[in-house]
Amino acid sequence: MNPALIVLLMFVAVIFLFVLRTPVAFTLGSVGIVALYLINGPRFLLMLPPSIIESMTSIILLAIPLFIFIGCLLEKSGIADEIFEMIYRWLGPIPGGLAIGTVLICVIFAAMVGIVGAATVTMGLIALPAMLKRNYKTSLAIGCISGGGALGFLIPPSVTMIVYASLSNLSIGKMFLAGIVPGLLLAFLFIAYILIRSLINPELAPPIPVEDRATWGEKWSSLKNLTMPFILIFSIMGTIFSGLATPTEAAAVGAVVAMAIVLFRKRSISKTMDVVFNASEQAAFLTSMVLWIIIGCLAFSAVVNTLGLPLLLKELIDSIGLNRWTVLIAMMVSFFLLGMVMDDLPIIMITVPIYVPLITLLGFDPLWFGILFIVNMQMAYLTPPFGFVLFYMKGVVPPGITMGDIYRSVWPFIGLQAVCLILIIVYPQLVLWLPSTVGM
Amino acid sequence: MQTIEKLISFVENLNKMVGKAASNLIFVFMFLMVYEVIARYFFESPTIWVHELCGYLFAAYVALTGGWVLLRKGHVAVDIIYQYFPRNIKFIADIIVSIVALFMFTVLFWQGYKFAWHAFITNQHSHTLFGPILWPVKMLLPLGAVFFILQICADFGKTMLEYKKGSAQ
Repeated sequence: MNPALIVLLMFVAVIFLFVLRTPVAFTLGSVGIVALYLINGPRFLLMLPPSIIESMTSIILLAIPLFIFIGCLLEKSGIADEIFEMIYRWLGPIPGGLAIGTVLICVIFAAMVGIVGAATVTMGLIALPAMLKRNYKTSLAIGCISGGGALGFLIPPSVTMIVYASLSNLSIGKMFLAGIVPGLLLAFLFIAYILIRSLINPELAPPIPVEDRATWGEKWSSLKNLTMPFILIFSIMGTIFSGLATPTEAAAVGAVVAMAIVLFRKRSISKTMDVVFNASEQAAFLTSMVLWIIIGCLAFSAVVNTLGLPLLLKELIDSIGLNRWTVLIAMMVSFFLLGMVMDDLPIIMITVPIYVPLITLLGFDPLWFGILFIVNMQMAYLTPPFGFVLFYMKGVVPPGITMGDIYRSVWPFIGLQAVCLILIIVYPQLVLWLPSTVGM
Repeated sequence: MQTIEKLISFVENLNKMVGKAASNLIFVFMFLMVYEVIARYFFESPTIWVHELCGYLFAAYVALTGGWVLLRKGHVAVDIIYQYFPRNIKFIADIIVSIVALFMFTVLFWQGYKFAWHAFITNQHSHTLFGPILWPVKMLLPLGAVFFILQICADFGKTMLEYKKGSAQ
């Protein structure tokens, strides 16, 4: 049978099962098993258990529960209130200051936490009411939280990056380093946008009144609120990038530090225990979900590999005479479209086995492509009609604000993400420079 | 009817208990990993066993929580179209999903069991300095599949009972 036809049938089956709400893990697993059986014969099913056990015992993937654990702890620790207090004192007097501060807090959060939900949730609860109370326009308030929250994908540590890197055999340390410059660039774009718009139209995000402003003494004393985040960031990122420990070991060290932070903030053993056990359950829950998707995908990608699909596609592209940049742009468009209806993990699982070998054959850098993928996932996180952040925002905004208002408020930020994507495509050094300076 | 409900709640309690118990393994990972970092940098004596053991425990962490995650509907699915289905189509979709899932985990159980049994009768050891026996970790795949199969059957039973209850009204 024609390999292209087989793959087409596989994708039809996947879409059919997705429509019936079959979990992604079961869809990829069962379609993969059937295809493997029909194409390669029953003996090829023997390939599955060794590769499944290999994923289940992967020390690299073991970083996932640890990073999720840190995220859940910090979300409940109240650390975000402290940082916000500091931002309020320092940036409140400038137009758009609180929105700019929200983006900065999201950067700090992204550097402590590996999952994107944590920053969005905490900022939605803390920064959104504070901004609305200060007469910020809802569109700007929602937009900056949505855009800022998505930075968690790009700024290390990032669970999405761990999954991408492990599936495409890249170094996680390098991928983390590769995300830093684009992440900060994107944060800078957000801040510049907010500042320019607020300066042109102060109605949008008025400075807080003079009588409410903090004194210099209060400002300086609030800086101590940054101590704990910096200890945590240093203990995770410092240990990875100095080569002192692997990402998984660094995550374990970070988890211990995060527990200490919770204990320090709650000042009660029993309250800390509540938060810690809640977080450990959440970590197991999400990790199991992620790992079973990876396991399901093993059968699927085994078929794609045995068919030699990337090579076939390469020959097809050559025979039509397509430019490799056209192919790249087509891939970006497909990410964007898939991102409208799916989460980041299913998209990784479906596309990586085909795209990454193909992109390498076309002479692109897989690390650079990985960052393009991540920026695309950030856009997917915000893009109507099904971006996760939109539904979450609907839950926390005051009743008068409709879903349509929320949709409208995220578009400028999606636009800025697109600008960042184009900059990275045109200047690959933005991604590749930092990893190249470190010999990991 | 009563027996089916009892069986369902037995399976669900079992999965809940096993899943929650396994979720505590994260404290073991933290302890062992931090121990390894300290042993390596402060006492210059890295262990030969921490990473390998953590890998094996991670397999248990993943295998034993799968059924519990299914119970809590935590395995992500794309539900944007499903939510608009009428009740009958939803019922049929749920049944197809159960069958597909049952198929996948039966295959995984059967293949995983053969793989682990082979390790057991040949008394396989890992090719590292630490060199533990391998069958217990390989056995985790069929064991995890059993927890899945139990929960899939319980979900199937719930779908049936709900549909019946809905039709009676």
